Amino acid sequence: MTSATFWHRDRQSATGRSLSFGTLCKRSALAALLLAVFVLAYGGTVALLMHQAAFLAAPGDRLMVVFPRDTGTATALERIGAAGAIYTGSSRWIHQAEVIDASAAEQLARDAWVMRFPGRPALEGCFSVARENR
Amino acid sequence: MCLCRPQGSRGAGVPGCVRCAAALVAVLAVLLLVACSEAPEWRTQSLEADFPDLAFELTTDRSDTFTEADLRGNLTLLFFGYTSCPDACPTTMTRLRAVLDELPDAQREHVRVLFVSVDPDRDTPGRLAAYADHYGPEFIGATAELARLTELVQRYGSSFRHEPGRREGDYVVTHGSHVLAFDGDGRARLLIQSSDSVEAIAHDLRHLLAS
Repeated sequence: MTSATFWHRDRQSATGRSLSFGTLCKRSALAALLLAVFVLAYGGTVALLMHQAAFLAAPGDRLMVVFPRDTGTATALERIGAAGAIYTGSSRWIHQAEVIDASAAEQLARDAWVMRFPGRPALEGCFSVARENR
Repeated sequence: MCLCRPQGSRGAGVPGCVRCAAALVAVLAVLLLVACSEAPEWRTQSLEADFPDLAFELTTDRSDTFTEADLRGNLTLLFFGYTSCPDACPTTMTRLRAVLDELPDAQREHVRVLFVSVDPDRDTPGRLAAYADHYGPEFIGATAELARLTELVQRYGSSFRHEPGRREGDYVVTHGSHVLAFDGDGRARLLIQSSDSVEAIAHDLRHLLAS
């Protein structure tokens, strides 16, 4: 069955009978459902990989931290600082942090979902010295 | 039956229903973009309303009890660093000096840069004062004992760590390079990153001081 036939470009099935609007809607819904499943599966896998990668974060790396909904901003900031990271911004409930202590992700993961941004940002003087001394 | 095409017509090319759907998606996309986009008021990062207010108790060369009340009415730029920092701190302080030079005199006199040292062992109040004075009268150097300092730093989502150096007694302190801007009432308003340009920072400070 070609895509044209699937979408009934000429509004005719292979037998020459017209298909109903309902059938078209059902097939559209099925396609949308398949697309949603694909997106969730792909997105979920990426999120899981980014979560695992967070535990390999070194000083200078960036993290995304998602605290439980009832965690206030003040509490989130204190936890980021206490874990050995630096708050660098947030978008809604997703906080961004830069790693100071190599164990920051592990400490944050006790209270939050942590993911690591892929790639390493440019290091500043203080961070580069820390990296050399590791 | 497709409502987008008269019954009985057989148009060439894309079917009417697909054209309908495409048009609907385009309209929704435009509405979404219009709803989400807004004229940028800030060029640095604006902070949420529930970000902790400015509150501290530090030591300077002139006072053993320097608190946020001493800065009330001024726009305060809070920065954590230390005087022995090889590059991040001098770079940030120099940039802040450049930012202040961009401001009109009437606005500049209401700005204070609070440089809080995260190296209290080496940064005495006198040393901090000399370091801050190098950048201008708007700069204030202060510190505190380690426990209070740690609490202060963590309250604003920051951190620092002493890294041993190659020689005995020689160490570096790993810390952040961002600057927090608090308005005259002590409310946190902006997070200034090292990637923000002098022009962008000056623009936002002018906006804050004018409001």
